[in-house]
Amino acid sequence: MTPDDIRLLYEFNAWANRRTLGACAALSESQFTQRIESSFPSVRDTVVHICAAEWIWLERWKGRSPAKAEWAEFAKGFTGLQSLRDYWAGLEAKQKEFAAALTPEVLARPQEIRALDGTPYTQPLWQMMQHVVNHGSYHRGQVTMMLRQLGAKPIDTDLIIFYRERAKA
Amino acid sequence: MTPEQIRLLYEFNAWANRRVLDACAPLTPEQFTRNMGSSFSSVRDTLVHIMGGEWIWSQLWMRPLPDAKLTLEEFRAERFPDLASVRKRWEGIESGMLQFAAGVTPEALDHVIEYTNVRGNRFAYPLRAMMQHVVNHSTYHRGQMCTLLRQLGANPRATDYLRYLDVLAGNPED
Repeated sequence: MTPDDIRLLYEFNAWANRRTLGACAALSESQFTQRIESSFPSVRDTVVHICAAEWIWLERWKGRSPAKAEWAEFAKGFTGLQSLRDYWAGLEAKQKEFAAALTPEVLARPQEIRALDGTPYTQPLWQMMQHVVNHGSYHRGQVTMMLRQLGAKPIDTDLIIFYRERAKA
Repeated sequence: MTPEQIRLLYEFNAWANRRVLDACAPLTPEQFTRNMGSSFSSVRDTLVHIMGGEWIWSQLWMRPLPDAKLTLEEFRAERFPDLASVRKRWEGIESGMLQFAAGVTPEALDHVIEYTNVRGNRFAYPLRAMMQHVVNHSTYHRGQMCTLLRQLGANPRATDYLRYLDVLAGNPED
């Protein structure tokens, strides 16, 4: 993965997140937190999980690996959609800044991070960065399904649609 | 993306699909086709959609005939009565994609492929972009498979990219 490949992937990821949150805006507050069986028990908890993962991985890549308590605390910080959107806009800007500074050497270098339980884990940066976008797509698929089950209209976040929209812009 | 990285991505994808299929094994025939109100209504329909997507895209790369008329007719969900029929069809698609990914060159990845989609629109993308799209698309629907399995009381299995790299590094598969 070249720095440009990663930048494009993160541009896609930010676009897909914004579209997903936009589709969530049609939900009432109670639908947003309504219990639905999935990996996480509601639309809110699913989108917060995507955001939390993006936050914690960025922290790790910057050299600080938050532990379990901080992770649990992070997820509690979002009650409504707007607070999440506001936070995410800032996170997206930080990701973009991080991606802008990447070099091929930095991407290829194995980096040690610590899992939530403190276990050290070493992986080349590009693999961790690819993981986060793959993880986001997985859970965005779940949000689509939950939106359908709530009677709301989901939005397409295919990578191919992103390429198409980007070429038009 | 280097050829090596694309190959790794496709090996991950094959591993993740196989884990999803394995997690479907305990479902009853009724659960397998039950309408759950998902993008593709049931476990069966979602699996066939992932498989059909992998097939139609990979056909564009493997036999790039000008204006080849590809249709998803063969991948109508009702043509797959059970998990075994899905697995059987998928095996050939998977081995074809893995073989293709194993032989891909940097030049091929940069090559722009033109095609007409099932709705009749013309598009053109570098192979690299298409190959990333397919895995992203499969991952998206694997996320839905996880939700469907949970709602049916079955046990989904983690299919994170990093989990796959752990397995490759010799850590046991759960």
